[in-house]
Amino acid sequence: MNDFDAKHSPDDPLVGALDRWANDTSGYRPFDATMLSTPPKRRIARWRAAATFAAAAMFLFALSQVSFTISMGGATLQWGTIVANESEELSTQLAETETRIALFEDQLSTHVDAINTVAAQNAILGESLNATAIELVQRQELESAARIYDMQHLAQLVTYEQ
Amino acid sequence: MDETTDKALIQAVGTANDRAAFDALVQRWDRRIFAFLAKAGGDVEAAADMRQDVFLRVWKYAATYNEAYAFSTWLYRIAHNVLHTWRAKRNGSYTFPLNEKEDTHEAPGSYRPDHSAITSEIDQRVRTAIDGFEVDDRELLLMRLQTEMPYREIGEVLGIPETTAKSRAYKLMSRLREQLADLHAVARSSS
Repeated sequence: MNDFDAKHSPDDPLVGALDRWANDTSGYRPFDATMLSTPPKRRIARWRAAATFAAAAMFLFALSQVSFTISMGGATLQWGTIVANESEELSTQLAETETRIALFEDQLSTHVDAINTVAAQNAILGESLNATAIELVQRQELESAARIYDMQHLAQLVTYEQ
Repeated sequence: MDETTDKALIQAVGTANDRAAFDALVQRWDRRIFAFLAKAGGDVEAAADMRQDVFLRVWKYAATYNEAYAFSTWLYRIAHNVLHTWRAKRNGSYTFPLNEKEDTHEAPGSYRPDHSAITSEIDQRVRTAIDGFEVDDRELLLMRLQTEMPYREIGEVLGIPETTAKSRAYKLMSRLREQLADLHAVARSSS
């Protein structure tokens, strides 16, 4: 008997009603043992747990020593050490620098063409200037000769009148 | 059978998947756990499902049983957890359909509601009064009444000190006595 009975009279209607309430199995259906399809979990042996832990630690250590990249469709999985990541970052920066150099070379070649064009134009202008100068000298020489002739002719006329 | 035998059975289940030992435990505790879940949770249909869950956990986790505790404490602790998980899913709503007279597998000697009208009236009033208790209080009463479980173990199941479990039990009884002060008069009227 429980302490409720001990404290109160066995004829106590409250105690009797409580006992009936607590032990009433109305609606009871037996346990369906067919649901026991999965075996119970066994206690894992300590050595197995230790071996599993050691294997996991070794796997993680080995994984930390390599780097690789897996591409599937549009997704890319990268794994590697910090050094590998930095190296890859430097490679990327180098590739970007090479691209910029190529771009500058293109721009430089374009500018060189322009400079050559200007130089050619300068050469043409120089030749033209030179030709003009020669022509000018020739005209001055012709003009000087003409003046000399005019002076001589004038002097002959004066002498002839004298 | 005594508690030592319960321990031996659950250890046989845990170490050797002993199905016969498990069946023996189910046969011994099934009705009490069902009644515990039905009365504490207030839903017979849900109690049947919860009881399945309780014994499935016993089968699955038998290897984790700590023999430092009584088997009944471990079992009721599982039932307590299952019950509170179920209540959390139900958002704490509570019904008490046990007053309906549904009975499919009556055990020999179990209470049959075909007593006198007076007894039925008393039982009805007591059940209605308990209906107003908190779930933990109903669990406490059930563990004490069903198995005479020591207050120390009841405290372990409910997560409260032994002294708290003990004082709470007497407060519940005092509350019932106040609410049902005229039960003696009702009982005498039948004699």
